[in-house]
Amino acid sequence: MHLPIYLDNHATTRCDPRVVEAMLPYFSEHFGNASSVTHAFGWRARDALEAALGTIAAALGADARDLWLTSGATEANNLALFGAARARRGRAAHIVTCTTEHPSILDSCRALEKEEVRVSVLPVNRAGLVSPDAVAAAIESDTVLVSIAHANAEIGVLQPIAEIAELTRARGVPLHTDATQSLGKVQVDVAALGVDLLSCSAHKLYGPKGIGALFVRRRPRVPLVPILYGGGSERDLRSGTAPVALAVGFARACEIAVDELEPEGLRVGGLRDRLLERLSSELPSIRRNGEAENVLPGNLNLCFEGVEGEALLLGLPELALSSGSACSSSRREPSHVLRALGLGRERALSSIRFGLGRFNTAEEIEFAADRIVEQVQRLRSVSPLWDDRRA
Amino acid sequence: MPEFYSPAVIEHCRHPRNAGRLPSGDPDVAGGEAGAAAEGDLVRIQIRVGPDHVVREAAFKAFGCPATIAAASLATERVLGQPLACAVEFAARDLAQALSLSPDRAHSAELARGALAAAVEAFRRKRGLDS
Repeated sequence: MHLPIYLDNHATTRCDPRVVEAMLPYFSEHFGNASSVTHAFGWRARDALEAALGTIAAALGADARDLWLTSGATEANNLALFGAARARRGRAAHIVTCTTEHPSILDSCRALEKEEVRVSVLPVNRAGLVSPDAVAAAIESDTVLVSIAHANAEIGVLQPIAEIAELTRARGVPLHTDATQSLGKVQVDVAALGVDLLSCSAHKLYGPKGIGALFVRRRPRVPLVPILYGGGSERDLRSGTAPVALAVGFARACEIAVDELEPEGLRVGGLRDRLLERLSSELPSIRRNGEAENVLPGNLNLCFEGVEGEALLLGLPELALSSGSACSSSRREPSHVLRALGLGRERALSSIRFGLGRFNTAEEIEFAADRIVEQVQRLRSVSPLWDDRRA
Repeated sequence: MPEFYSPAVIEHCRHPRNAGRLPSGDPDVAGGEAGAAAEGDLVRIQIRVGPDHVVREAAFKAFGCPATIAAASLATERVLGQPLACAVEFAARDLAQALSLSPDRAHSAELARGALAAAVEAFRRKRGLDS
């Protein structure tokens, strides 16, 4: 067992050695520009790129012609939102999203508001779910896009995307989902989900950082305009030299994730359940944030009553975890997702996100549980809130 | 989190000094608090003062980020052996400096000093001393 143990797989994942191996020749030997049509280097790169696009698209149940490579999910989300809003070319536009979205959605919406786009940010319930009926009710005559993430990055909850899609389709409004956290962890199929646009990123599924994709349905065609210009590309929604090596890695990562989806989901889910079982049997007053059902297999978000998250993490240098708040600002702002569930500041600041993944072992989980129990008990012995609770 | 916290904060947070409680019913013990859990930081400090008006014992409990726990721990260390009259003569910025707190965590040092000042004040009231 190697320390520290990585339990922050929602932030990023380790690039799988099989992915690294697949990419390497495309950095050195096959380094050509896929747009160079006049020589063998370019042809080789073009072939690899097309094969990669085919594999990534297949993982989504999509057609490779509907897939646009981006620098990651942030760009894919920006392209979906700005692309859809600006396609209105100055006419009134409205977007529907929800409070627990990633900053690449919410910040893009804020920026679009400065371009006179109206945005409806819907609340979620205590489990973190948005109501499909509320989405339908928020749609206006000039709504250009509904954007709801498939899985939440903090609490792992899976939104009822297929149900929302039925309602948006009936209203003729395109539906975008950010599937960055879900791709490779649970089934993601654009047809089954019924989405018109879907963002994803390689580094969340054991692929390289620096590449993602946006699926854009062609029939019916979602009107989008580019956000990056630069010509040279034969398709015009996303300019820029295709990162062939990264695309090959992204494709290999998708291939592995699809092949291993079910057994890995069960294994990682089993580790997560074991961790929860140990912590809840050995520590009183811990609460799970979000849902127990319908959640990513590797996700566990726990509130340790009476213990502040950053202090807990400082006591756990052997574990790589995330507390959802940063002590780097004068007034620590707890996670906007936990606040959206209705958690008070104190409870939100006492929460820790566990992100289990492919490379975690049962031995690591037992070790992590031992250390967490020890540190929570230690910090509770110093906590005035714990005294009050017992008084 | 070494990039966020100084070695002194890490040391105090992992090995807090004087963490615990003194029996509040004792006539020579008094306590004070600062902050609020709902705001994310709460510090309680108790002191035991000898007949010579010197702080003989100190104990703290803190809920908050590592800087807050460290500041409370350091404040109890600083006050031990001090005459009551100058128990809170140090400034919050001395605590902040000793812990190399970034300016945006100065609040943690203020809370620790605030809790200690409240404890001293409570002791004076309890014993009918002039402040």
